[in-house]
Amino acid sequence: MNEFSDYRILITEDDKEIRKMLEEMLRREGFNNICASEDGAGAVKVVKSLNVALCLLDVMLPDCDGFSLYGDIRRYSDCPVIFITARGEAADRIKGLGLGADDYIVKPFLGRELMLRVTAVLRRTYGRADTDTVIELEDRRISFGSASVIGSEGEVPLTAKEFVLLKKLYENKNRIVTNDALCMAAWGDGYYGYENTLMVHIRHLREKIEKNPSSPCHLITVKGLGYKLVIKREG
Amino acid sequence: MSKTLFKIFIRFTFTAAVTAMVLFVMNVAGFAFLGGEVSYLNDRPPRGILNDVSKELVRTEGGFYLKDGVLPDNFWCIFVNDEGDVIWSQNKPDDVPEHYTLKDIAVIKGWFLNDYPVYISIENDGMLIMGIPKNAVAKYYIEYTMDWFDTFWQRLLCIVLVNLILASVLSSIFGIRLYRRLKILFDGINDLRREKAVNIKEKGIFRELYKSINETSKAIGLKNSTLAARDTARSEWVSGISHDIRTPLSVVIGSAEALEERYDGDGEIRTRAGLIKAQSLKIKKLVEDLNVISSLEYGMQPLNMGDVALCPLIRRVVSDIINSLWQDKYDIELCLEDESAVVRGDEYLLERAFFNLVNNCIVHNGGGCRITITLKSKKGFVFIVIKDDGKGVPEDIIRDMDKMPASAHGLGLPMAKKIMPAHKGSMSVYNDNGFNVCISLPVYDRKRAGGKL
Repeated sequence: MNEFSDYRILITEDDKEIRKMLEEMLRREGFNNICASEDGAGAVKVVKSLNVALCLLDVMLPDCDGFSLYGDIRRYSDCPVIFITARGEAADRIKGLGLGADDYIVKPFLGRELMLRVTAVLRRTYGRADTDTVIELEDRRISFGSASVIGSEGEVPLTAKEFVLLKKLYENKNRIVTNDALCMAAWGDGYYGYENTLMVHIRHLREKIEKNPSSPCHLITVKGLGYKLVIKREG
Repeated sequence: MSKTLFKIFIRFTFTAAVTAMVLFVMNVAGFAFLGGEVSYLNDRPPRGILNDVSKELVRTEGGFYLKDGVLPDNFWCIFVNDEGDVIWSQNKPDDVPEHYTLKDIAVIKGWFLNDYPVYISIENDGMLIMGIPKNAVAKYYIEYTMDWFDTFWQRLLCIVLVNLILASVLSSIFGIRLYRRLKILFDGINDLRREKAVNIKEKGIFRELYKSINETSKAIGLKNSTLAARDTARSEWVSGISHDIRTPLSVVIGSAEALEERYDGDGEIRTRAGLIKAQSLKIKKLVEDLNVISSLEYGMQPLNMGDVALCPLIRRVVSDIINSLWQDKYDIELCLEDESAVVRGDEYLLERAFFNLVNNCIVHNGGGCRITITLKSKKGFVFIVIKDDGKGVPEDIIRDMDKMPASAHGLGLPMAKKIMPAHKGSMSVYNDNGFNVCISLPVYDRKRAGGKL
């Protein structure tokens, strides 16, 4: 069940096939409140009259360009906006993100990736993230809602840094997350020099989530690169 | 004043001064040789004729005899004895006296007699006075002290020096005008070299040259604007085609994904859908590479420069590649010795370049290989070596790396090769027990960038 299933998502895309495909993707993902518009005027009309949670905007529309449409939408709504466009040049990306868009996706895109980005933006904006997300491991489970690891020995709380690191790893589960990305998530821009501290936090995390911390099977070290959270099944 | 123009100016001034001096010396010498002798009225100097008369005048019992032809018809000659009486004469004009006192002789003194220029020859018993027509010659009395002769060479040197200085000053004054015109010419040619628009006012002695430069500038401008228009059109065409490909490709990938999900249980449909998705993603990457290489080729897109920490970038690239791999056939080892290595560059382009280079090892070694990436800093440069122990890349790809590839295949290496010089770096590629790439990039000021790592 999608936690944002009732959130209204507006698709503004002039290409009928892509519009239809986006709508199908979102419905498959569990979103059931979807509006679609083929031009900028229609999009403004929807935003003016309805409470839209997220806009997916094409940049090249028949009656205007998505960048100017972004300004029009902002006059009526503060909802997050993701640009989906075939304009992949760096200047366009910088312009789109510079305007304040929440994400910029260049066509062609992977449906799975788009859905993850849509969910991430919605979580970031509406703050319902992880409230009831639970990761099931062999002999224990991680609850993001209570920021703790629950096992046979009871509930072990996660520290703030451990929580952030675990969340970052979970967002990229079964994929390598570099040391830099983890440090950035935990300490922000000035993360340089925190690699050793990161190792300490990872060791503590392993003690909490791994059955055998000296031989981890969930929080794996990828030498020279970073770490990977390996999860076979989710609860 | 530019060095070249200064040289031309000095050479001109020097040449003009030397020419003036040579002319001065030649004129003095010419005056001395040509102006030192009186006019030759009868093909011979008057003194020579007087000497002939003195030799040929024969005393006879009845007086004197001079053979014909010795004294020209327009000359006259008299013989005055010691008493002052004329005892012989030939062609004597009426206004020439017959008797001379000592005072008369002193007045004549070899100069003029009744306005006749005269020449005197002293004989044993008198003197011969030869006169030539009035106004035939001018005579001047010049007198110098001995002191004048003693200091002659010093004064001559002074005159030469004053002449030299004067000639230099005058030629410099005239040379400045020439210099100004030459400078216009010089600046015009320099602007042409830099392909800047030139519009010189067409006047003066170099008018034709100015005109030629203006016309050349116009021709270059026209050529450049034509080339720029062609490059813009080409780049826009690539960009437009990319856009046109991307939109339908989105539908293809999305549909393939949908098929994969819907037919989860049907192995063949799922495999084929996966194949369509994988091939479509390849087209996507090619389109992206084509856009980047086109922008770099025609300089259509300015670099988005910033401080780029190379180690995190390389780790990100390698992670992305490992995350996208289906099979665990590739062993990627990182040996990044300088964590603080920062360069000034376009992060997106550098990431694409490194992605292409590492991905190249994967693409050319389908059976798997070991990839090693090392990073070191030395003498203001970061050196990155990417090598694998696979079969390497075909030699023709390495050879043609500087050219735009004829097909989309093998776009990754030329693209990386173009990205490095755009960052004031270099890249060399060779096969040595596998594929090897050596990259050098100038290190950016670490103190300024240190806090941002």
